[in-house]
Amino acid sequence: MAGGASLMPAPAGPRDTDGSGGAVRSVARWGDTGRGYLYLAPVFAVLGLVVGWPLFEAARMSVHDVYLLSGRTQETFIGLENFRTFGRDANAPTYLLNTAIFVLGGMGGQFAVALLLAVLLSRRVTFAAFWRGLAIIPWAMPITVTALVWRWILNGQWGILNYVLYELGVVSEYVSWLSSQTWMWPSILIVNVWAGFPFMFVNLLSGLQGISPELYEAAQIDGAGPLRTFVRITLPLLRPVIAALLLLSTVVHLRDFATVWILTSGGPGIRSTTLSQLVYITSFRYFRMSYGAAIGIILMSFSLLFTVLYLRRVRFEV
Amino acid sequence: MRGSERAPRGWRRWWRQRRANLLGHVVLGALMAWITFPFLWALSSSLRPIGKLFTLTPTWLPSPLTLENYRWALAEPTFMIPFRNSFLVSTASAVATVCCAALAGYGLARLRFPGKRGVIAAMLATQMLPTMLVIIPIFLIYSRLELYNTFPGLILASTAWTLPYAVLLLRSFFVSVPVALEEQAMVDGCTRLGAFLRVTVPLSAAGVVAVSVFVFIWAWGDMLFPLILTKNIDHQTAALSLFNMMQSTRGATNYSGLLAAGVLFTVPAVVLFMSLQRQLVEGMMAGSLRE
Repeated sequence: MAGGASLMPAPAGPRDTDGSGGAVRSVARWGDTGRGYLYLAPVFAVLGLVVGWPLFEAARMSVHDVYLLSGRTQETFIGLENFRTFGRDANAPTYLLNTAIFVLGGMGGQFAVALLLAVLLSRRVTFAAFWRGLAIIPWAMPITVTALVWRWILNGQWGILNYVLYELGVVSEYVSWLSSQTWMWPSILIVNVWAGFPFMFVNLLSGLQGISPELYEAAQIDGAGPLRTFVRITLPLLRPVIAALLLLSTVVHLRDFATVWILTSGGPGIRSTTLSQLVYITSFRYFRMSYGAAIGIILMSFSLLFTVLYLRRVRFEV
Repeated sequence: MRGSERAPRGWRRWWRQRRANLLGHVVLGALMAWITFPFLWALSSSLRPIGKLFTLTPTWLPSPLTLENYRWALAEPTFMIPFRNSFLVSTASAVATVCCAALAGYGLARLRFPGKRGVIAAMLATQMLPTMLVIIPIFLIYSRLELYNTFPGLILASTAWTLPYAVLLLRSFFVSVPVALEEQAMVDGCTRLGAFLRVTVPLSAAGVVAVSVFVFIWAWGDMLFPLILTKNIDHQTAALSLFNMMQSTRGATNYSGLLAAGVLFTVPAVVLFMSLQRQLVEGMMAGSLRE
């Protein structure tokens, strides 16, 4: 499952009706505090072991120099040296640019396709329900298989895309889509959009269906055309959904690793290496774990920025 | 003359009324073709004899159609062992996540205690962490705790990664179950936990199923944890082994076999996903009926 189905705060559940969080006093009489923490204990234990402790370790490692290959674990405190190393790296701007291309391109592309499809399918269309069901299947396709299939379609020698474009006269010779410097990013982004738009689509569609038809009728009576109606009524009413989706998508793309890695492994050279790939390469190819952790912390700080913006937008009831 | 003048006017009016609609259908058609093509092409390619796969003139319906690629995939240990592992890891992760999340979700839905708001905010924030950052120390910690290259280690990681979402979703389902029903059960002699298990959980079945399916599909498709936390096919899942096969020269020359394995690997996820859709819709409708 590509993208961030896991990131929406409980989107599908029924609403809290009385705003009390269901804590009615007659049941919540005694020992709530102890009980509450007891019920949360397994979750705390799991998250503590696999998220909390590692996060602390990552922060600690990023200011140390860790030699793994020296036989024994030896650590030297070096302060912010790892971060300075990244700043001095001549390739750093390329990594940041790649990350920006992937985040903005992936987010923008997914949003454009999702909005277009949601608008088209929210109107009266033959077999609308069937198309809606079909459109979200890419969501369930494991990213490995998605990339496998697209690598076959985009194959430089035997791919169907080259064949069709060549026969139509669009290209004069076969293109190696995923290793061409010009076509690599568009190719990656097309695969990324294909794999990731359904989540946005589902949310935008339900947003569109929540808009009262009376508003459209009123606009029609006032003589507004379809475009004007869309810009003046639909978009403003969808604004909260759109803002949340774009922020969420930014975070999802920042942390995404598999899509680009399976398609190009960050190549050619470092042309498609995003920060996420760089952390992997640094830590698990060159075993410079503490430097990798420092780059990871930089990545996290970007992610954190958008998370804070996102959390401020999403109202979650307690 | 008059007749021929009227005809284009009528045609123009027809065009003006329909053009938006027609354009919409054309765009929709193009988008749907783009969305469905990879599925169909994968299926078509996987049914082709390997000799006919690498051809300069691809065709839609290969002749002869063959299942030899599927036979190859089903007999190939580098695919089949991880494929079985995928079932084990995904199922165990789903069970573990639902058990932990149900208890915590219930606590957050029914109890009042200090720090509750903070717990929920922390869970939302946890989901935003770049996996790549946390996975470096997880790798080191796992090596120390002898969880590296084990199923429990993989299941634990998947569970942790899906827990926050599961807790929040289940909580929202529990909130909508009337407290009075639980109180009634307690009057009838149930313990508090008994009332939760016998009344609240069955009434939230749609949510429990949705969460299980969600976790299953997530663990099914994840390749990052297996990539870092396992080292041989005895403990790898198919999401990773397919990638490894893709990267090897042997896989690159047997692409139709790889595609067949990919199709086999996709089927359980897509089938489950369809049922997830139904469950989510049902859950929402059931919730609104109860209000």
